Amino acid sequence: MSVFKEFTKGLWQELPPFRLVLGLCPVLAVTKSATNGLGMGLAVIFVLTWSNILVSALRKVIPRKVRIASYIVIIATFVVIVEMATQAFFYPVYEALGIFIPLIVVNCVILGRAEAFASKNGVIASALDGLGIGAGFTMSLVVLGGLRELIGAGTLFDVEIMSAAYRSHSFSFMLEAPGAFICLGVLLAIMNAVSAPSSS
Amino acid sequence: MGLRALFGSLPPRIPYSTGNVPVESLALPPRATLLWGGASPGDVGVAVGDTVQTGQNLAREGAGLFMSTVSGTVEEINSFRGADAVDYAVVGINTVEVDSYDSSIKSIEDLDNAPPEQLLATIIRAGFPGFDALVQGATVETLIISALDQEPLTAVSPQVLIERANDVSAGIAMLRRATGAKKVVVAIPHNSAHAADGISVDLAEIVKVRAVYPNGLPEILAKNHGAGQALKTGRNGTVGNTLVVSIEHLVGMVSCLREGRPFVNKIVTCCGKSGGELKNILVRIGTPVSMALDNLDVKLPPGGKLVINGPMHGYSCFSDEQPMTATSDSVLVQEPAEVHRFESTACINCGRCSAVCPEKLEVNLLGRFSEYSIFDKCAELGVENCIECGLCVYVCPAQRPLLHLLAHAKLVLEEETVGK
Amino acid sequence: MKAADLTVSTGSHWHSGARITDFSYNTLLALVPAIAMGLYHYGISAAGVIGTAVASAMIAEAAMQKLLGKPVTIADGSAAVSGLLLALLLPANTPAYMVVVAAFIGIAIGKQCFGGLGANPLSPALVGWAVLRITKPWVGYLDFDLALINYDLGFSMQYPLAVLKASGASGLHDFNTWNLFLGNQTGGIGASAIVCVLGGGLYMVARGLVRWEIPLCFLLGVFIASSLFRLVDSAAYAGPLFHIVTGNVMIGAFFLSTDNSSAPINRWGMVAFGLFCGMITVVLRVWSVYPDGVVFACLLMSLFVPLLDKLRASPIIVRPATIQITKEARREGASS
Repeated sequence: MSVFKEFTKGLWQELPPFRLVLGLCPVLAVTKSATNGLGMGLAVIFVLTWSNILVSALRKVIPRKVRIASYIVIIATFVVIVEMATQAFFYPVYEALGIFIPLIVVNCVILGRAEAFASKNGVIASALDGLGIGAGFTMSLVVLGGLRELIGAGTLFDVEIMSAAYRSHSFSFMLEAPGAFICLGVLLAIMNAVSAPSSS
Repeated sequence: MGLRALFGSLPPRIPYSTGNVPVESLALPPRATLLWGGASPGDVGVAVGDTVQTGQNLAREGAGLFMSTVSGTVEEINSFRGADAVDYAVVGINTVEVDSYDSSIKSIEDLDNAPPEQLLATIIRAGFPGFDALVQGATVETLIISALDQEPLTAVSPQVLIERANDVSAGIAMLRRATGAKKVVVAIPHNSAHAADGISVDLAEIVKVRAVYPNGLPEILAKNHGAGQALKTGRNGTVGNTLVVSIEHLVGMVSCLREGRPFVNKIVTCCGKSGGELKNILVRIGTPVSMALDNLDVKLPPGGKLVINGPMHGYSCFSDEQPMTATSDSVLVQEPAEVHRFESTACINCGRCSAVCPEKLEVNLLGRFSEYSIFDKCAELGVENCIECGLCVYVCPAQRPLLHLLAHAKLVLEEETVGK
Repeated sequence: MKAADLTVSTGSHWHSGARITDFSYNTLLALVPAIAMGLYHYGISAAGVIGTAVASAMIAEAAMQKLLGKPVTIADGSAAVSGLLLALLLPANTPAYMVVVAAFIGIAIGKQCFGGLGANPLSPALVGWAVLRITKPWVGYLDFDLALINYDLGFSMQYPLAVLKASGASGLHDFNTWNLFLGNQTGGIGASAIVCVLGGGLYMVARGLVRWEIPLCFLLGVFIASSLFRLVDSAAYAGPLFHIVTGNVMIGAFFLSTDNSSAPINRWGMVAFGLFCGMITVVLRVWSVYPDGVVFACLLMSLFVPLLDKLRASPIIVRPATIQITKEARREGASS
């Protein structure tokens, strides 16, 4: 089995928010703009990859009964690193993401991959899995954030795409919480329709 | 319309016929067909070519009672699965004009002092329906004599009340002794002109019941005026404590006990088309519907509907060979244009079915659960309480076949329980 | 047995003749007076809003049904009713794009995504309206004082509920309850025509298409809650009659809250539903940032419908069989 497959599966087959339907809380909360989505996604890639590597490396050492606590400690370590780094170097992103950076600790995607994959596989495979799932997560967040930002504010990565007339009367419903749910639901429906086995 | 629609939870007004439809006798059919519900041809104890007498038990030894209502020669023994999902054993008999009566049904000389067991045994042996539960050993707490028809477009009970009022008191006394009922209630339509004539009050409590469907159904009578639940024998055993006997059967029992004759003639109300004139005929049980229709001069229209036992909860027939049974009250022919068409529309949740349901079931939910085969939910919502009155179907604006769905759920659940 | 060419089905073999379209067509008919008053007051722009809303609701329904591969059922009129109710809540000069967006989201997301007529947990018209209400850049168009600034209809052009919000009950001396009841007030195209909406609603109740419990208890809820506030401080809080004849209460009681699939069907459920809708309306009017609370009250209570439907008399559960019978005995018993 190709190790490369561990990377690519995260991009479509096991795309976290849409296929695994995991980690929806940050997906809904931080995707008010594509920039926020990208920032959150990069933070998750970093944490996920490194926690996967460490969990995989320590999988023979960690006793089974206390594994979740151990994973949390490992994940929390990297989350603190991310939090400090964003605070120091990307302060606007840190401001925008707020509580959701510390909350990466309890993000189901990361804990889920640690438990379901890294604790059973080798270091290289786990690293690629973390990168792949993280990349898929980032992709989803950017798509969702981009869509919401484009419709809700008329911009994309803070670049003004739509006309000034649209931006002043934008459909800001998409930036609200119900808009996030509806947008996610519509994307999920489209994805299921595209990949449904019987869709002919 | 006004007030009724305003208080939408009232049932729609479907009045019963008030009677005064003279009874006309129909000739003996050349060939009678007898149906035995819940049995197979193997349970029949006679063979093709045998000669049978009126009142003879056609069941094989130990298989129960299947009484012949005509004399003649057995021509056919067959099986038939009815639209009610019941298997029937069918016996076709070529009749002879003059009846010879089976000797096992005897008149009782001293009716007032005969032991109750003898009375009950004679009544059951004479072919009166509705005593299945008593055969199983159930006891009767309340006996309800119903002078109401079960359905609109039926004029049997009012007519019996007009013509045979004198026998009612005697019948009540006999049946009370035979069944050992603690209380007897006589249900009379509120608009009956012949109410309670000659029924002495110490024998029975007389209640006036609004002559509106579904008040005449045995289940509703038992609930409103009896001890709660009508006696019912299903595949899961026997339930209930209230025996509901129609007034026609009651006066039949009087004749039977006095004269030793089995119950072989039944009054049937015929209606050529919905809203048309009613006609009462006295037929031999086993007569095919076609004979009754010929008598009325009604042609069965292709694509039309032949409904036995009333337009609300009656059953429609596959053919005009369907014979009359001891419980057939009416025959109705519908033109193709009158036939109600069911649709496969989704429920719109208007709640009318739930509002009219006499058993207070959540029909809107039951229909959906049954549609998607979620039968355990149906059981939770009490689908077995459905008395199949058909009111939900009558009011459903989406034309959903609710009765079909509920009856299906009941049947599936019943089969599951029997299988256990 | 000889086969004859007969139709066979389960009962009942009669039908009352009720149709799904009874509900929608009669609602359209009942709302004609309110539409007429809206057109009389606000002219051609009101007609534009109503036409846009109805057309886009029907197009949205047809498009979604095509997309989901279902039979197209716009002829049953339910989409037209949703569009019409949405339009009647809006000011007369609402921009067309807002109406289209609201109608599309209301029908496509609020109704068809849940399975169409009968399966929608929220009324599509209310979903569409709520989407507009929480879209911040568009709120200005829904503010009746701003939106209808160019109209002068010969009565006070201040939105009564906005005045109440701004200056309390003491600022209401300009308004006469009887005039408000006659529809001489600013507000939604049809929602402000109180007397016409009441007439239409009574027609629906008389035809049995709207069960009387919900409207009555809705108005009762408004009455109770506003009386309680009035008892606390009669200078700050308006009286019950003022609350009943202003804003969306009348159209809410008879048409918005009574949407078949988003209202309970049992009597006590409907009573609770109506009372809570009415009381939450007044609470929102008093304490929320919105001048009117009818739509949000109805949406909120609609979410409780599965719970409210449990408020019902339970059926008699059949007692377990007391006598177990054998197959032989059963046959004996079933003989006839």
